[in-house]
Amino acid sequence: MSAALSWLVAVSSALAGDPLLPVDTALPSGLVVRTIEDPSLPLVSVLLMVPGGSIHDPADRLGTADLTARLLPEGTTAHDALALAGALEDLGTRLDVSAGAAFTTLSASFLAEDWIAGLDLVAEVATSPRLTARDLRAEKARALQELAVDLDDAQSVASRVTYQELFGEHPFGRPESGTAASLARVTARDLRAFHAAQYRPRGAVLCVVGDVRVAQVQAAAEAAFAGWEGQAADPGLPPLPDPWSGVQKVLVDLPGQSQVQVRIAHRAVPRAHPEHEALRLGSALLGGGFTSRLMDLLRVQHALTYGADSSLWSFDREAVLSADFSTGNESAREALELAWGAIQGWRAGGWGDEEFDRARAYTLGMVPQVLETRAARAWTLAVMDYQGLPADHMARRVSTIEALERPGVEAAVARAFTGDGWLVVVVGDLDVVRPQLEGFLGGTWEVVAAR
Amino acid sequence: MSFFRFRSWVVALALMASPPVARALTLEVERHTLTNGVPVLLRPMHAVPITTLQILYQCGSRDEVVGATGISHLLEHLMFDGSERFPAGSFDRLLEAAGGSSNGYTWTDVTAYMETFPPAALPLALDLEADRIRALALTPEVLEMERDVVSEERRQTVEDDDREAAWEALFSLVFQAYPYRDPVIGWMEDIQALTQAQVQARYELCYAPANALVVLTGDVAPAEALPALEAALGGLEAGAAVQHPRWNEPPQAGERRAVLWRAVPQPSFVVGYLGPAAADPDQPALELLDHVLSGGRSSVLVDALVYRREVLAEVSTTLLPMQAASLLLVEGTPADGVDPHTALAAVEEVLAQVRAVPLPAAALARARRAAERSLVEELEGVEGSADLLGTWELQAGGWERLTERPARWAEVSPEALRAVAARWLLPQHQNVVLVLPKEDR
Repeated sequence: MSAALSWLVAVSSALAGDPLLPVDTALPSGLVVRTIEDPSLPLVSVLLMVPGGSIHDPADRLGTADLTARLLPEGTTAHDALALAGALEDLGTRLDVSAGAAFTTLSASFLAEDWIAGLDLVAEVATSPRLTARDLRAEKARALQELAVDLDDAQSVASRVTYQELFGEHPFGRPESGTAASLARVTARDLRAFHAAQYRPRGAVLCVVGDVRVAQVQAAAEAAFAGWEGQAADPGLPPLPDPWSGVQKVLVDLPGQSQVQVRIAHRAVPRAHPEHEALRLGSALLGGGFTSRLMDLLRVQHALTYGADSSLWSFDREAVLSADFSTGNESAREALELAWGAIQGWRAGGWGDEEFDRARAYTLGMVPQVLETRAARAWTLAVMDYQGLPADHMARRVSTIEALERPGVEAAVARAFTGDGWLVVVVGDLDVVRPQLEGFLGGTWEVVAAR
Repeated sequence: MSFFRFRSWVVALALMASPPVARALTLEVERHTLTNGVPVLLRPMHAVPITTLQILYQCGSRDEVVGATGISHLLEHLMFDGSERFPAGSFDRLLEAAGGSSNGYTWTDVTAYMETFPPAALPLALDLEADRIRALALTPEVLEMERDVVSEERRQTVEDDDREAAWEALFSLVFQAYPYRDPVIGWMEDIQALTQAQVQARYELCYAPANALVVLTGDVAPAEALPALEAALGGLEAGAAVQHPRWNEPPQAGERRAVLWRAVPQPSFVVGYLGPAAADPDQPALELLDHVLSGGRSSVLVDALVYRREVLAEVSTTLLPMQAASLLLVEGTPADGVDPHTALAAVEEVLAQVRAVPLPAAALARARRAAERSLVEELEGVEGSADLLGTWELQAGGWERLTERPARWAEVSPEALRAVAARWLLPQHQNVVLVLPKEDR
């Protein structure tokens, strides 16, 4: 019987350290190593984040970061794809590799007795992938099929168009999975160049959370990443486009849908900004829990939707507030007017103390829920690094939220979300929906397609 | 299909479908019984300061009748809409003000409710649960409101979702007689026709404490929690247990096929095989078979059909254990330009090999390892842990079966794996739903 499996799950409540506070170290190569010791289960989550996302794609080769990530598990200079998968599966796990807008993550969870062997494999995949033309051909075909499915899915289309319209030609507006035309242009040489430029230790961060010791992690990381050198290339991002005046409204045609997908979005200050936490609390009041304004209005009072919510996603220098819901085709206009009115009322302030206190309590209650698992904490540590947040951000977040007061949060919301710069996206069957949307907020709807 | 009140139901399937497992695993779980006979499972977990209260009722969509499908799920929504002491809207308002959140789901065999909250809010959560068990306030207004919400839910999660539409069709193919054939969310026509009298009768049938199981996990002290549970729930009249429909599914005489013509960019398929009940001795081997078939890059179907022959763009399998039966599903998307019938034939060729020749011991060892790690991960979360314990208690013959699972897996040999495939994955027992682009019609 393996040692890891003979544990008594009745663990001690006395953890070795703060389960939300990482210990940061660095390798001589510049790779930052963040560790949280949590021995309460014999489980270890490992996540390596490298600064290689769609914002780093060559402008005429959108999807390069995504294809590179997809090809990483297809073999290394030491193992072919099957041998690599077998080595991981011998450890009872699989490696998830995912490219987003700003970074790519390689992550896996291991039983405690396996994690050092697992880290060696993560390092091997990150530093010496094969990236062959043959593998690219097969993976490109699968990527194109998935893209076709995404472009047929209303929620996926709504998200793509939201970023595309908010950021235009700026790299923040790019589709992470590229376009059919751009994918066709990407070659294996492009992938190797991308890997050489972005998969570098200086700029990357390794997060390890679980039944480990800091010194152990440091030693294992030094051994696993020995010989990995260099600085990740800076994407040299251009300035963000100026927000527009008033409201921009766009329609996307997706025939045959029985519902419309709606996004009402606005840009905001990023995660590291002193007012961002207040905006998150404000967003929770608008569309966080089941009793938030949008959910109460659209679902409980009017029964127009199954769910409505708002959330903030942050790049390192800009965030996006997005209020999302779907509704039946026949109720699109009514739901849109109600949601728009709720958002305008929300940003005008005058909130009740009871609803503010409830939103704050809900937000505080969600902190341990969303950081409960080792994988969630490893992910959060990595994102914190990208967003420029201090190492004690997670540990201090509760006291930060507790210190927020209603007038300050209302003022922050009013400053961040003025009457300008709003985007309304409706995805649905245009023949059915367009007539009822005419005249909404004046002006005309622009019909666009997802890239 | 399990339908959550708010979250994506796919989450529920992932939990129930993933092989819940471990080898000599010791869990500190206390079993108690309240004065009125309600069983209680209690698992202290002190790593994070949160607690989950889950109450599962042994009443699900299989206990519905023709013409009233979806009533369990609609009632699940209504359970949040007011009771005698807590008027409409107050359930979540009070819970969220205390830092908590709530959810519920309906499945074929159970309807479940869970609240997750800071430990100090346990008395509030119990008070809310006890009042709605005792005296739900059903009104015509909230019934109409939730009917509309559920209709939107059905549009969003089934009618505009190609995969879920295929699953709905598959259940209707596999089950010709047993009530598992009808969707958990109900047919739209039934949702529109349910009356208040039907819903009230359903409430009285299902929410008797005799149908309930309470699971409490997280940062709790049993010495304090048990008196609180007894005070809140122990005095409620037990009532009568629901009598579930007897198994009446006739043997399948041959392959069944259905085609859905939808606005999809490419064809896909799902193949379903009827399997044994969740508590059946074949389940451990079927759980490993699920891993062996599609658990990773080197798994049998993925390696053969996605990478070597390149006839599929993707393939996955899912084992869905239920109280009276289980389903093993194979879902796939043909590679670009590959005819879906050719792709289906390729799947059957691989399965024929699995039925005929024992797989290498190394493949089995990997499956065991993956299952063990999955179990540890599933036991990590407070809310997930509550659902896992409750589900195993009700459908696998007791939560203790979890601790024995690693030993059961260790007993499965390559020949036993082959035999279980030969028993349950027969070509004449295939149920196939093809989803094809409607412009190809």
